Amino acid sequence: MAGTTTAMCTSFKSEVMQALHNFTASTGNTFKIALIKVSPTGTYGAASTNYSNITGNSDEVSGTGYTAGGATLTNVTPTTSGTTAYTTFSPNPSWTSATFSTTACMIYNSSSSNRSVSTYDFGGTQTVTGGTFTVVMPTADASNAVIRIA
Amino acid sequence: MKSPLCMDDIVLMVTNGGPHPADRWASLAAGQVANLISIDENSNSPAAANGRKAKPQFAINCANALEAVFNTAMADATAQVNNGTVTVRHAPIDVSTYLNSVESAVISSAGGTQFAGQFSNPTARAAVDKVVGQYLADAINISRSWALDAKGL
Repeated sequence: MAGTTTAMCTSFKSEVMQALHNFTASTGNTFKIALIKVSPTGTYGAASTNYSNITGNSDEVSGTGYTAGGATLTNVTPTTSGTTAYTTFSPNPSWTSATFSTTACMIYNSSSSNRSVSTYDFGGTQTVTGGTFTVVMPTADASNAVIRIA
Repeated sequence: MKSPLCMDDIVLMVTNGGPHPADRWASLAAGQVANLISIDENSNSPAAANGRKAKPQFAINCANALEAVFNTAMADATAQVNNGTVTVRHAPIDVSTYLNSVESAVISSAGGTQFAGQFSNPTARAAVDKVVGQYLADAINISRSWALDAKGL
């Protein structure tokens, strides 16, 4: 069934063990966030493996202020607290002077053959009209950060 | 068993017709600052009860106090584009000039509560700087982007 679920991609878990993703600030890989259109054809979630899953279904958002491929994220070097390692992206990705509708997004690694990291369902259609659309990452700590290894 | 690779929900901010207003950033930041206050939900002590009652009002006071800081930071970002100081979208963002105002806003919001002393603690102030500084950077980034859009840059 088409749609999106919020999930860490299973392929990503394996790829981390193969050193295919590097979240280090400045010197690490380039991660991007792509928005998924309303009523997508494909299904996105734990089984997603690549940004091409979106483009192959022509499921990426199009509209004013949005460029295909999505927004480039700025890495924050992973750190640890207790026994948990975590990372985030900062500043939060945003689109200005934007007019589009979206229902979900995918974070992917554009430096590593566009391998996917995670997908997020927005809980319904989100529409911005000549405005600003911002994806706010959770607090960057061991309990809440967007990507954590506990 | 919980997966060792975890993720939490993200939050969306959508504003039609311009950048997110300062009050929305202030509210978001104040909520995070209030979350720094940890109170035992299971305790029946008077101090815990007073803390639980004071925390929501603190968050409101804090949001109101921080709104002015966000307004200033956003206006500065726009002015820097308009006067030519900033000409590119990914120029470095320095929030340090606003952090004294942030700390003052938080401490004054906690006045009269048991949290006042805690937010004067250097460790707590550093945590406040980190939490609010993140949102200040976002607000500056977005205001800058709008200003650059307006100039066709």
